[in-house]
Amino acid sequence: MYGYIRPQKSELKMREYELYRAAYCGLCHTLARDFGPLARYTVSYDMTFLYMLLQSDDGYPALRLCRCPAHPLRRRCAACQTDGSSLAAAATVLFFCCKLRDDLQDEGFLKKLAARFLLLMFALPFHRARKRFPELSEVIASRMRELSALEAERCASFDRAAEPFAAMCAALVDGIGEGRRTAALSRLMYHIGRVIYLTDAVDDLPEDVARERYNPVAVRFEIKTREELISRTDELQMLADASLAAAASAYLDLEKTAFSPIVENILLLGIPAAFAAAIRGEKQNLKEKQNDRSI
Amino acid sequence: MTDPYSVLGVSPNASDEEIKLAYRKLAKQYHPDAYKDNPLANLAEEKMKEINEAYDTIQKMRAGGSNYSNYSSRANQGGQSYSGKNAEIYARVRSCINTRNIMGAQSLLDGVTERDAEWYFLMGSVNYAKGWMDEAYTNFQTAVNMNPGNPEYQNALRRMSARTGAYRTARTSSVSGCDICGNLLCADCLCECLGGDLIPCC
Repeated sequence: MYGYIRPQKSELKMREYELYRAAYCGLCHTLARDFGPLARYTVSYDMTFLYMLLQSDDGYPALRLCRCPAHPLRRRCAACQTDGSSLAAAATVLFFCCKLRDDLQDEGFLKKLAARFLLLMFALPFHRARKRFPELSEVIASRMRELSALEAERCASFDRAAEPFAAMCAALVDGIGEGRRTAALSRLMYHIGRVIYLTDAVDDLPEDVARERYNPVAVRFEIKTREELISRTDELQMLADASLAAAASAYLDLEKTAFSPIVENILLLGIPAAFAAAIRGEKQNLKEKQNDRSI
Repeated sequence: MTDPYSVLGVSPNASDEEIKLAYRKLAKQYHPDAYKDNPLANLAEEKMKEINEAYDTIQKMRAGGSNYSNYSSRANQGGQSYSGKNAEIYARVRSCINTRNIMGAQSLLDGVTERDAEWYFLMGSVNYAKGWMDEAYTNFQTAVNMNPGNPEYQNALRRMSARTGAYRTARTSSVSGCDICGNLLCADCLCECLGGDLIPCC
C-alpha cells in the first residue's frame, strides 16, 4: 500500500500515540523475526493499521521493551507477537514484492534495476511468506494480473478499476476464519482499499497524464490537468466519502479493542486528510513530513 | 428491502431465544451510551434503528405465524406497482437482493437488454451492495431522471447521500475544540445583551 493509512497525530491522546508506536514497533519486530533483518525495513503504517484491526480481544495488548537498529540507544515498548502481527508481517512482505514486480513493468531504467536487485534480496522472505499464507499469496497474484489487464484496456469505470486492489485488501483478512467479525473486517478493508486506490490515482494524476500512463481518475472524469482536477473536487470528495462512510459503518460492527480510538482517528481524520492532501497536490510535502517525523 | 434475519446475523430457522440474544448483543454494541462524545454516534444510531426495525419485523412475522417467504413477497410490494415487460425477472432480482445473493441478482440483470428506470434502480442497489459507489450513484440518478415520480428511486438516492452526510458530520464534529470556545463566547455576548454575564472576565 502507499502510506496513506495513518492517524492524525495531533488528535491522538498521548497513551494512544504510545500504543500506536508500540504496534508499529511490534510489527517491525515480527517482520525481523519471521522474515529476517532485511524485511524489517519494509514496515509500514498501512500494515500497522491492519495489525491493529486484527487485534481481537478487548484487553490491553502485551508489551515488552526491546532494542532495534533504528533506535539503538533507548529501549522501546513493542507489542508482542500475535497471530495478527504474523499475518500483517506476511502481508507486508507479499505486498512489497508485488509492488517491486509492478515497478519492473513500467518504471525507468534505474528503478527497474533497483527493483530487480531488491526482488533478489527478498526472494527468501517472499518464499517464506508464500509458504505460510499460500491462499493469500495466490489471491494477491491473480488480482494483480486482473489489475494489469484493466490497465492495459484503459478501463473507463473507476469501480471496475478499483475492484482488484480493493478485493486484495479484503482478502488480507479473509483467512482469519468465518463469522460476523470477519465479514465486517472484510467489508471495512474493501472500502478502505477503494479510498486508497482513489487517493493514489489522484496523487499520481499529473505525472501519469504527462507520461501517458493509465490513470483511472483521469479516464473516468476526463481530467487532464491539475486545474480540472480541482474543479471536480466535489465529485471526487463525494466518491471518497461514500466509501469511507461504508467503511465506518462496517467498523461499527466490530467489537471495541484497545486500538479502537486509533482506528477511529484513522477512519475519520487520517485517511480524509491524506485524500485532501492528494487533491491539493501536496504529495511531496507529505513524504517529507514522513521522513522528518517518523515514529 | 433487506432480510431482517441477516441484519441480526442469524439464520431464518433460529429459535426465538437465539434471535433475542443476537438482538441484545447488537443493541449493546450500538447503544448510544457506548458512543457518548463520539463522532460516530450518528452512524451508530442509524445502525440501532436498523436492528430495531429488523427485530420488530421478525417479532411481527412470528406472532402472525407467517414465515420469511411471506415477508419477502410483502417487501416486494414497492416493486409490484411495476408492470412492465420484465416484471417477472425484476421480482426475482429483488428476492435475490433481499437474501443478499448479489452475484445472482447481477447476472439476472445483465441478461436484460431493454433497460428502463426499474433496471437502473435495481442495478444501483446491486452496485451499492458491492461497494461500487460511483456506478451506484449514477444508476440511481439515471433511474430518478427516467422516472422522477417514483418515491422508491428518490429514496435510494437520498439514502445514499444521507449516509455519506452522516459520515461527514462525524468527521467535522471530531475537531470541535474551537467550536466550543466560539459557542461559549457567542453565548456570553447574548447573555450580556440581556443584562447577564456567562463569562465574568469578558
